[in-house]
Amino acid sequence: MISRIVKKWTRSLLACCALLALPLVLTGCLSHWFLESETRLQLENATEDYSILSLDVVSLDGTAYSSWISETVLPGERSRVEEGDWIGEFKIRVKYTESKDASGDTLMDYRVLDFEGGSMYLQVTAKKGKLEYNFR
Amino acid sequence: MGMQMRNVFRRALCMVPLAFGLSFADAIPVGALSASGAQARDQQLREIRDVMRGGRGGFLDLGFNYTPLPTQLPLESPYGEHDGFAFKQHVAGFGSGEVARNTQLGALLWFERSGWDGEDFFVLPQYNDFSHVASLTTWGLTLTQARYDVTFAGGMQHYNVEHVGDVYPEENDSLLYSWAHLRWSHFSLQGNFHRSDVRFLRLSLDLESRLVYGGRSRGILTYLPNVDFTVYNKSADRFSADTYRMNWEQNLYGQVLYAEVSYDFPDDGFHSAALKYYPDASRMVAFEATCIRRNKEIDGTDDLLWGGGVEFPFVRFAYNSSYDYENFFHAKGTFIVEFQFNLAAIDGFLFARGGTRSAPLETITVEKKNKDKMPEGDKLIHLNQSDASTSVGNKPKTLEATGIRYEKSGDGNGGKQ
Repeated sequence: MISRIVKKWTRSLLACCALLALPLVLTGCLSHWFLESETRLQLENATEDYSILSLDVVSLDGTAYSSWISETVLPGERSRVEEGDWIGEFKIRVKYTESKDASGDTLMDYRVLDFEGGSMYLQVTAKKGKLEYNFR
Repeated sequence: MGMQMRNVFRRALCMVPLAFGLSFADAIPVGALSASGAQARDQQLREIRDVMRGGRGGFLDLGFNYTPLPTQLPLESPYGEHDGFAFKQHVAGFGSGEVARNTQLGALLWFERSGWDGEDFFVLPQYNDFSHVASLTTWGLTLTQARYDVTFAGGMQHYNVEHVGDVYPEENDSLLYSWAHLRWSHFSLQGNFHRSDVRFLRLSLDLESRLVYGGRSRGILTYLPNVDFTVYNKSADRFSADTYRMNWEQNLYGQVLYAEVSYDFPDDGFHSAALKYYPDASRMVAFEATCIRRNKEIDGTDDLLWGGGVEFPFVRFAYNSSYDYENFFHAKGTFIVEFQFNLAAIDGFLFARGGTRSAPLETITVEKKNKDKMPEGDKLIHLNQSDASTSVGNKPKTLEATGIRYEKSGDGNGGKQ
């Protein structure tokens, strides 16, 4: 009688463990097979006559910023790959000059971009005096 | 190619909940995370109050929230919405024993680890620039004098911030609080202190009569309300005055249907309300419809959030429920799954926290035993006899024959059976 109850309890306990194990397996490392938890960003200046000075993430109210790529990228050049914990939709600020050698007044361009995580290659082009951003 | 594949996979994964129309949850604000410590301290002591109603017996609780998608509960920082995972893991235990006639000594431990992180994890978080990982441990000793129906409990609360990103409002990293709980019959007084400062004081009148604690199973006494009144000392927060909260829990029908209302004094007014249906008074299963007034300071809106939840012995599903809004960083707009289990025991009664009667499982067993007493008894004997041939437990019976015979039976039968 008692042994049967113990057996029954053991069985239901095992069932509970199996039930709990299922989400345990699904949580954690497994999701990183297909989900990235950081963004590795590389920027290419594909314009012909603009120099890019930096790329920062700015807060929505404009009172704070966090620099991401702080490197001058001349026309036709690529930046180093910089890792950042930015996954989601953020407002970026690109500082640039209207010259091929980074001389002259610093101008700023704001844009909201969606960072999906993982390796991301951002190509900046210019059309009719406006910067355009494309992930490739 | 690899990235494209990943994006396809990612989109496919997001399509599943999209199809059910439950993705696009609202982001959780950073303010809700940094305020979660105070809320969790309050909630743990409320749970301890409930478990201490009898002052003896035992209690076990464990659980964790499961949010499989990074877009389910994103973090809303000043920079925008960050994909990631809100998490909460909790475990609690209480046990007591009789140390002298009518005197019960016990110990309790409540633990919770919660926050937001860039990865979903079980033990090791990613700790990225926007993570907030904190834990809260409440422990204490309890002493119950059954003759006078008095319980005294007291202990410490440790709030420990493991990791906090730059986007969160300032807060102290580790804090040590103490707490005390005094219960006499249906009345209890609870205090939470930081050094010599009172953080909050709570007076609870659990007037409802409960069978598990030696009360009635039906009748007018079971319709008495459970009321508690809490004073929160807000002098540490520069801009706010003390606040008062009153909770009213009312049995509406046969201890299976309850209404709960919570009200803030002096200014805020209505806080939350719930209608709860427990198919069995042991509260192992619960259905609830809730309504909570959202905080204007944190959410920017002052409106009512309606929601509900279903709780089964091992899992709980909820959508916009007031419990999750309050205890899971103002989570809303998404289905929350919590794998959880809690069980309280007193004098052989088993029930979930707050239950008024024993779980039906047990009652059925007892009825069965009484109904077919004879066959059950016979079976018992048979069982013992069949056991006798194989089990070592019956060694003394066969020992007298010869040692060799015992060994033989062990070789012949033991291996096969």
